[in-house]
Parts: sequence; C-alpha cells; structure tokens
Amino acid sequence: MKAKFIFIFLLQASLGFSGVVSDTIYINSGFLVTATDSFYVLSYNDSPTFNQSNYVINIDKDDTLLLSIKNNHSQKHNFNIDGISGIDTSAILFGSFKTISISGLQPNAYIFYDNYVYNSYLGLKSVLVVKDYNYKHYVLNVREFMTDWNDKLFNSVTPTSSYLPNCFTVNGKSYPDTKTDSLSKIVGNVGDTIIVYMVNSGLYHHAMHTHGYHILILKSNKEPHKIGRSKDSIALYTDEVLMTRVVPDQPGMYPIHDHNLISVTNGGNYPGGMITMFHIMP
Amino acid sequence: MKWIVVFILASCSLVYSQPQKTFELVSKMDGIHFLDNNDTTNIWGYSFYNSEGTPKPKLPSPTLVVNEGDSVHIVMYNTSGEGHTIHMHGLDADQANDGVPHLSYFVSPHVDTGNYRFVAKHAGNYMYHCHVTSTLHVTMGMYGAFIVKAQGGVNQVYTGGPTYTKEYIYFSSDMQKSWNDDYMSIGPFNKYKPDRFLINGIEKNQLFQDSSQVIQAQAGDTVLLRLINLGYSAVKYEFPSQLNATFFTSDGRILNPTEKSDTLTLFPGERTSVLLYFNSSYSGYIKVHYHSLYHMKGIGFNEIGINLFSPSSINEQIISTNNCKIYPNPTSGIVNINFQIDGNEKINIEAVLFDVSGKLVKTDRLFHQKESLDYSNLTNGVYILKLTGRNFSETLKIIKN
Repeated sequence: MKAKFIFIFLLQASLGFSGVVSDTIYINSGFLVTATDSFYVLSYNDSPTFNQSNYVINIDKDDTLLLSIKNNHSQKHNFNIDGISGIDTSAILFGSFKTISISGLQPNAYIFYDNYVYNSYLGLKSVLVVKDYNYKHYVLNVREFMTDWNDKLFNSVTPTSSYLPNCFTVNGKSYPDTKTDSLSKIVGNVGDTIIVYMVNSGLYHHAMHTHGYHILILKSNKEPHKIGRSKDSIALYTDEVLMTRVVPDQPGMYPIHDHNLISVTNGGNYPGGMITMFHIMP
Repeated sequence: MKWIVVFILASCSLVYSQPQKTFELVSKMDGIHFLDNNDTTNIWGYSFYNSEGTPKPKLPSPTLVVNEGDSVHIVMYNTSGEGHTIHMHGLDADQANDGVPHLSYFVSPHVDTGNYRFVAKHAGNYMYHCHVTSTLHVTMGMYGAFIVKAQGGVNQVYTGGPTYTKEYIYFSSDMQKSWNDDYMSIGPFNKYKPDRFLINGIEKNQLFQDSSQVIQAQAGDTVLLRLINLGYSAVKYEFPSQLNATFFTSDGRILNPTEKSDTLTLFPGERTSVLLYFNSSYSGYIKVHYHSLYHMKGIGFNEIGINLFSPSSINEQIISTNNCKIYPNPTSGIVNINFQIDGNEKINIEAVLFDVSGKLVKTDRLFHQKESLDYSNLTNGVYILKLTGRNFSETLKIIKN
C-alpha cells in the first residue's frame, strides 16, 4: 500500500534527494488469537483486512510522510505521534479518513497512537521508524492484555476489575507463534549489524532479557542515561522506545524474553507470551 | 605450511592456558527455608556435590566465583524428580551451553548429568538459574550469584578498573510464600503476587540478625556492592548520600561514563557494581524498595545495615535529637532515655514499639526526665519506637541484638 515518489526540491539540493512517502494505515477491529485465547482488539494495518500485528511505518531521514489514516472501525478515533506537536488530532469518524503530512523528523522511532480512552490499550499503538542507516532492523513492540477487559470493551462495558494481565505479546503474537513470525524472529548472520527497536505499548513495565548477546542501547525516549550501555537485561518502561544495536558474535538460536516471568505465559501457562528468538547463522 | 602448524599449536596452547574452574552442583528439590518470624517454607536449588552426602539446598544457591578469562565447566547432577538446567544469565554462553530446554543441555530427572562450558570473558556480576518452567523453578529458589572477578582475582571492579577494599553481594528476589508452601497446586503463573521480599534469601530482621549481611567498613574503605535482581519487582536502592555511591558496571559491562547517584533501580535480571566511599566513619542503612512493574508503587521493603554491629556502635552509639537522647543502640535489652524537655513541663510520654512490619509490640508510659525501657524479652531485630506526648513527637529506630 506504500508508494514512494521522489521529488527534487531545489531548496534542498545541497542535501541531495528528499522523498515524499505516501502511506495509508487502516484502523481495523478483530480478534487476537494466541495458543490459549481469542479476544477483541483494534489494530493499525496496511490494508482494510484485519491483522493482529500492528503495521510499522518506515521512512528514511529527510523523507516527508504523507500519511492517510482510514477508520474502518465503528467508533471515532484520532491520531497522535508521541513527542511530535502540530499534528491534526481531531476525530476521524467511522468510514472517513484523514491525511497528514509530517516532515523534518530526526532519525528515531516514534510511537503513534489513538488517545481516546481504551483505544491504545486495545491495540492502537504502533511505531513510525525514521532511519538513517542501511542495516536490517526489527521492531519488537511488546504489549500485554487482560482478556477480561477486552471482552468487556467488546460489549461496550467499562472494565472495573484490577488490571491482572493474562496475555503477553510481541508484535501482536505470543510464543510459540513468535518463533515463526518474520516480524519478531530476528534473523541474521554472525557479524551483521542489526538494529532492534524495543517498544513498550502496554500498561506494564517490562524487563527484556537477551540470551547469547549483549545489545548496545543507542537511543531512549524515556531514560537517556541508558544510552551507550551494553546490556542483556533491559528496563523497558511503558511508552518507552529503545533503539539498540546487536552485532552477533556467535551462531545459534537464543531467546529474547521478558524477565518479569508473569509475562512468559499464555493464559497462565508456561512457556508463552513475551518470548521471541534470535536465529543467527554462521 | 610450517606457519600454519605453528599458528594452530599456538592457538591450542592459548586455549589450554586459560585457567579452568570446575564446579559440581546437584539440583535438589528438598530444601526447607527459614524466613522472618521463624516462618518456614519449601525451596528448591543447587548444592555443591559432596560424595559423602550432598546437603539440602539453601536460598540462594552457592555463589560461584571465577576470574575474568577463566574457562568454566559446571557439572550438574540431577537426583531430583524433575528435569532442570542451568542458564548462565548474562554470560552469553553458546546455544548448547545456554541452559534453555529444547535448545541446550537438558538434564533429565533422577540420574542424569549435564555439562555447561563457557569462558568468563568480562568481569562483573551475573547469576545462574534453572530455565525449566522458570515461572515455577525460579520462584522455588533455583538461582544463585555468579561472580567474575577481574583478571587474577585482584580487588578491581573490572580489570584495570578502580580498586576496592571490601565487597558484598546483595541478591534480591521475592516469593509468594503460599506457592512455596504448596508447590503442587500453584498457578496460574500470571497471578504470581509476591509477599516476601528477599535479599540473599532473607528478609527484614534477618538481615540484621546475620552479621555477614551487614556492611562493616571503616574510614578509608572503598566497598564494592555487587547488586543482582532476579525478583518479579523493580528493586530501588537508596544509598546514604555521605557514601557517594558510584556505578561502574551494568550487566557485566563497563559503564562509560560512570554514574553517581543516591538511587539505583534494577529491573528483573539486571546487575550493577556500585562503589561506596567511606571517607569517614559511618553507620546507617541502605534502603531497598520493591516496586510493582505495573504501577511502580512500593510493595515491599528491606534495609541493609552499615556498621550496625561494630564494637564502637554497640556500646557508644547514642541517638540524639532535640528532645531526647537514647542509648545504647543497638541494645541487648535496656534502652535508656533522657528527655530534654523544659523542666516546668510535666512529662507524660507514650512509648510505642513496632516491629518493621508495623505490628505493635509493646507500649510503655514514661513520666520522668530519665527513663529506662526493658526490651530484654524481644527477639533480635529492628524496631520502630514512637514517642508521643504533648508538643513532643519522635520516631526512632531501635536495634535489639
């Protein structure tokens, strides 16, 4: 659904080419399915067909993004980008769409979301990546759900029970589905430079642990003092985006998982939830 | 061709010149653990193999210490009724030695033996734990500290780094005691709700009753704290500002630049090396808060004592406020109080003693300028003494030992 048109702007000639990237995201509703559960969620997708994995928008540094947001859901929504002001955040009604233009973003990853009550919780929180490198990159968007809340929201009932999540996801899927998910399973070769964005779009804080490798923190929107640290256990606060880099020095298959161990479960059973894998070849 | 042979021989000699450290551990599921107030519960863990009878596991399991560059071999015997592994958390072992079921060595129940081999490449603080049904086996206590000292075992935070004179390991974790009490019927695992908050397997008063848990340092000492967190909580340390806490490594890697702060929060799995500088004599506490990873509100609390039991502090420490002097503290039983209240004012002070959980222990009424409270019958530990009168209020910490 993405079309990229290159225009030459004379005023920016000294910078070379700048691109205008047109992209469309659809606000869809559907059911997120794990090994143990099926429950109502909302999702940003790149087509009118529901997909339980949120779409990630990718542009290059200096690109201008022309983004259309199409509301396929029966309720109104809005659109915000964390840390970016001046965006039209007025309501997008059912069946309508809005197009916004964004330019001048610094290389980083930005959470975009719907801030109407419970819509972010239900899934409308994904990432816009602005890159200035040519390495392979992955986004690990972690999020937990309490399926009882989702069931109530599906029936337009406001949840009142304490938040006790029982479903834990990476890019909208739970282990073991993440093992075969091209979005979440990090594949590469020894010596590759791989950029991994860790994004927490849930209500819980998470503690991501990498087996096999330490990873270098390049950026954090919440805790800049962490930048430059080489870590295997990483605090990932709610709404935090970490840009990290890993250069694998050994082949193998190694888990990446939340070390708050309630999160490595599906419906209370181990193993499941927030686990994905490195698969590094020689 | 000759040079290739020389190169291969040289490479082999380098490999074999690495010192070898071997540990023999037995995974066991028959431990009994004592908590505060003499509560007991079940634990699982690892014990050092002993041909004359391997002891029951303790919490945490034995600390394993090697030097940077050592080639490490851990032999694990399993005589228990379930399968186990050893995951070397943060050591970046290769896949076969990573201790993850289905991907690495899995040690079958009853009679199996597993071998884990890796090189300790970076000085720092690590841990080992079972990776089989972690939600159960870690909760039951199958974990311990793994320390990689600087090359040669010298007292440097990392090889070539700052030196220290003393070191302490504080390994934080937690448990939901009812799960350990009745581990056959626990779960669902997402409903784990810790109610015992531990440092080195113990809690609250136990941390003061065991003198090895109390930092003993004199003026001029530089003390290394090896802080490791394997609980389900974010653990926030509050260091006394007088000690200029400085952080030098995180997860076994050098921090550059170092970080100075009076607070440090460790999420599950994180480790940090902290230096405390005793430029002058100091006694007091490091406060340890356990925060929920949902709302980051406090759900547990401990304190690590500093110089609480030094000979000078036992007999001479006086708590002095604007209103009163209290001594000795720590006390073996009798606490003397000298009130410094205007002589014309009639003294009528209520002295209420609580334990650290907030439970009322004893109430006395005091009417004289000089009073003595008898706490001889109390169990050893830390208590909070609240003194309340008209225009008078003090809250003080009393240590019984």
